[in-house]
Amino acid sequence: MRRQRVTVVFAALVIGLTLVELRLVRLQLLQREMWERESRRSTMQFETVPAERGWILDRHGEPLAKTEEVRELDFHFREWRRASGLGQAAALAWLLDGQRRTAREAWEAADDWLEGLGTVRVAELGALQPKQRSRDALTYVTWLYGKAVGREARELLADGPPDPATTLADLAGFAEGLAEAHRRLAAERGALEDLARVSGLGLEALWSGVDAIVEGIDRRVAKVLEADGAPDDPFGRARELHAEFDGDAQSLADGLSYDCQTLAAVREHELAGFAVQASRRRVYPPAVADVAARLVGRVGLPRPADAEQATGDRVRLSDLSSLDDLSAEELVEYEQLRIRVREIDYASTEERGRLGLEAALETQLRGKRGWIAAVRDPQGNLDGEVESAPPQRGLNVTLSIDLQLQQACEQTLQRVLDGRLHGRGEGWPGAIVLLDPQTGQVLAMASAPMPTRSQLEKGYGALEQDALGPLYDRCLGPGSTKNLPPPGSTFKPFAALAALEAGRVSAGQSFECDGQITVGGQTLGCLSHHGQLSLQEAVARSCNLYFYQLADATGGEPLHAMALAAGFGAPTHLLRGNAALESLGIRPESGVVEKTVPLPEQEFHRVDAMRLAIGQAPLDDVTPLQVAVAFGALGTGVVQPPTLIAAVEGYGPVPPGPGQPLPASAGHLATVRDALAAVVDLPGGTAHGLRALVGGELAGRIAGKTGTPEVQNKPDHSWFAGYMPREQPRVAFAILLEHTGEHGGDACVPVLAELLACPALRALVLPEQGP
Amino acid sequence: MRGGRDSPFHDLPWSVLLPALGLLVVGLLFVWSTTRHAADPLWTRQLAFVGAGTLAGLVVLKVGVRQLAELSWPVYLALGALLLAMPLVASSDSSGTVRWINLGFGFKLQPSEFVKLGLVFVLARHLQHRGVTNTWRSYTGPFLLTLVPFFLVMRQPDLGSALVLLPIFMAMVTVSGARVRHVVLLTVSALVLMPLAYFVPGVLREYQKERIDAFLRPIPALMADARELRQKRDHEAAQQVEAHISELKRGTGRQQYYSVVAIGSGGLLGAGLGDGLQNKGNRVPVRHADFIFCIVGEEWGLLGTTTVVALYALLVSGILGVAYRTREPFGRLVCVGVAAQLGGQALMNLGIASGMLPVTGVPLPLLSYGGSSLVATLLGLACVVDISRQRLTVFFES
Repeated sequence: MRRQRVTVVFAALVIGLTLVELRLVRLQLLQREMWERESRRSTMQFETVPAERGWILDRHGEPLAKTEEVRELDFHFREWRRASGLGQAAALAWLLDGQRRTAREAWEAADDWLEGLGTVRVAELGALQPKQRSRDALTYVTWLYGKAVGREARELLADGPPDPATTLADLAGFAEGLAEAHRRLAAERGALEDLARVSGLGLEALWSGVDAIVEGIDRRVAKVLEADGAPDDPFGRARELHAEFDGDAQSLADGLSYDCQTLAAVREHELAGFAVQASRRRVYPPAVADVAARLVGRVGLPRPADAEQATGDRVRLSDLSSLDDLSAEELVEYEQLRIRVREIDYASTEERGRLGLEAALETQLRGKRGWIAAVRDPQGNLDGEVESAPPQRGLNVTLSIDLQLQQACEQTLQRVLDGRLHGRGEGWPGAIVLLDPQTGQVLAMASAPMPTRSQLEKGYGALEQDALGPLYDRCLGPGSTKNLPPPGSTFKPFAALAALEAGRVSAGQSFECDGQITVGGQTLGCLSHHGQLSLQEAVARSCNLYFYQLADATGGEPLHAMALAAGFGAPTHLLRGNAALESLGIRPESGVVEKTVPLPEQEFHRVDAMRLAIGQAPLDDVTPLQVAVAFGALGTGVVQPPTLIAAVEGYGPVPPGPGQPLPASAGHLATVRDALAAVVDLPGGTAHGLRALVGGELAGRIAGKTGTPEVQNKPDHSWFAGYMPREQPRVAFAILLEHTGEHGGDACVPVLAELLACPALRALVLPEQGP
Repeated sequence: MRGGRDSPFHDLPWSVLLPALGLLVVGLLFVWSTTRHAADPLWTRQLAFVGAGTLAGLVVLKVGVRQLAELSWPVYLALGALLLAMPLVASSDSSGTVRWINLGFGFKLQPSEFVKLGLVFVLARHLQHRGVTNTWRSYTGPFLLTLVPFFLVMRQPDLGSALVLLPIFMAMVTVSGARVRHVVLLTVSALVLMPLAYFVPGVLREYQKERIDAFLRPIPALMADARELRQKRDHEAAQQVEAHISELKRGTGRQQYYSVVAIGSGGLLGAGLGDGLQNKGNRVPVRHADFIFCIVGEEWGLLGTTTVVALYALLVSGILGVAYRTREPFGRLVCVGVAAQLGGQALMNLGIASGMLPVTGVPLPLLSYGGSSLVATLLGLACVVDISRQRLTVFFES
């Protein structure tokens, strides 16, 4: 034979190896990046470390919402039946005869069972049908009695049918295995007793809880099996289902102590199946949980849109990480997606703000999630931390709200709603706004009816159905009326100011009121015959006819302009669009909604101007917040935009927004202010009743205007708005009660009187007296 | 001086022994790397196997290939009988395959590994004087000698080991005088028959067919398809392809896919011994045995893989060099057979690990963990060593 043939074989092998080498060069040099990306993606698993949510505080630092550690006792059925002696004994008994033993039975009888199982014949174990059942039984035998017993049983069965008389007890190592099993059970009992005691649960409740969970799983499995029809291998199918369902952790109890957590950690081997899970959750202090509940809002699971975003990002990231070559844009997208998936997208069980300020300030309150990217093998065992980032706590937000004032407003409105304040039996929904006119900070913002916290958390559906609309904040938008109320006579001071500024009316100007006036075929009336009135008297008594004539003299345009200047017809930008917040870089999301109606530009015929002057159409829709801001402007001369946030941690205090001076001279303002004082001081003034309710000294500090706007086909609303104290006002207020059919003075003045019983408010009005 | 013609250390073919030693060392390092966290760190056992194999090799050197040649037929027939009897004596594992015989103490014997060497010897004896000639009839002998163990091994089922028998046959027949056109015809018909085997029912089992499917449509190609579909805005079709990919990643295609991921992510220098992500993450099944090469790729990079490929090239050239220099036909044939077996098996394994061939279970000679493979390979190498030292002697009278 020829030696050259050897060369042929050599060539063939070398060619083959060269092809392999070329392939390796392609994989390892040319495509390296793609494979690296895929390798990281397939082995690195992210674990998120939740961040602590920022607190919401009132202006004095009282927490309205905080984050606390909550501990739960979890039960894992799968782990219990596989790793604890009691669970294993119960499972083995079930495998042998199909009867599910309760955990309580296991607790009482496990030792006896283990002894008794010694009489089970090895042949029986082998004969269990189907085959998988026999294998499982042998596995449990090994776990319970030790490897020696298990191995011997397996070998006996593998060598063909064993001697029918051989029982488990006859196997070598049974005695030691049994003794060890008893020791294990004793240790478990001790640990479980301690757990039951320290958790405050008690053994009875513990076992009932466990049994309930196991029964629940059995029911689920049975339901699926039923739906499946008749599977070929019911045992195998049930086994698969159990493998799926048993792994879920179910909660047995919560509110556990730190000691309980330590106990569970230290004795975890004896407490297989039980674990104490600690997590940080949003908590609303019970004492103030109902105060400003709607405003503070609540947290909940992420919205479906959030979940979709998260899934979409993950899928896209997976796609990009397995592509051969990425374009420049794709690379940028890849990096951005990595960050989003790690830190920003919501996990399906994460808390996020869903209502109110919790939602509006989600970005600030949420903080930043931490994460650990670790290599884990398919069994889930950690192989070492590779990359991580610690979580960043959310920012605390300090509101401008004063908890005491808010509480006082809410309680008063509730009394009104229940009919208790006016002693009438039936009450009215309403709203109160208190704010600081110098800085624009809202001190209280209450609206009735209002939801309690537990209604928000658990009865949200019912709240949505409620016709009275407890979910609407009447300070910011329409309640059950579906329309915003007109300001009514509360606009008269602004009309007066406009007329004075326009030079059409002088401070001493008087007009005659004889009850009604007819203009262009329409008759406009006044509440009574006031006779000859000065400006001050007209404001104090709220004479419509005076203002019709004032409007006639002035014309609609100046009135309209003054309305706009005072902030009517435009959003106050309490949160969204708030200039002060935006100057800090904070942009609240939706969650606290303000609804305003713009003031239309139009031609003013005589009647329009007259109606405008008394605060009816075309000025048809105002919010209590707008009214409070406007009256604050009357008190200080500056229209100060309101703000709800006093400070955000890390950003510092929120500065007051840009205030606009009212287009009026000091002298004219003084005139109007005197008129507002006269509303309370003058015996015929519509708010004169205040003196009797709170005393002359206090009443002498308060200036304001009542209003009773007409509404088509429904009872009139009632207003009372103003500021106090008269010099250097520190509180501007607006009180609205809906569809009372009463005069503003009759309905709303008692409300203010009630409010003034609150020491915090008195302190603001009578500062020299102290709180 | 210790030496002389009868000393075991006289005149050793270092061109064979050095590459083999290199491969053994690499194998030990990577068996350590892939199993150090497992319940059983297997490198000590691998070392024991190396020891056992070396001992067996020394016995061969002492006895001499000439003596062993006398036993070719008895050994071949005994192995054949063992293979026939496998379903009775072997323990079946979870998937119902019967490849190992339990020796006790946790050691297993895999007869199919030794069949390869047995075939080499028997073919060498058959071909040493007659060779193959122009006629097809002269092929019947070698054919039958190869086909019988081929089918017996395939029955186990062990497609990979069965396939390794084919290069042995081809190489030895080529060297013993086959005509060019016969060789070409044989190769072509093999290449044609193999795909046909896919379609003939009963030849391949389900999981073997699935492996071929996964090979023909590998995951990177499917991903490129999905990406194209997305660019054409055909999201539904793209989603279907992606769902298929996810299924593959969990199922049959997984092993080879993650093997390629491991190799590719190694880059030039690799992640360092013991530090590969796929290694730590335990993504590639059997990474200490059949798929050990992918961990070499992940942890030692292109440098490592090229070194291994080079070592195999050197080993094969060394053995073929001995064959070239041996005038004596039996010895030459045995060396060619051993080279074909080692080279062919290495090529198959490397091809599978790097995604060039569909998956069949074939260990990487001298590198993979496995006692039977190691001992059989070392026995073969010992034969080569012995032949190299006696290359001038004619063994048998014609």
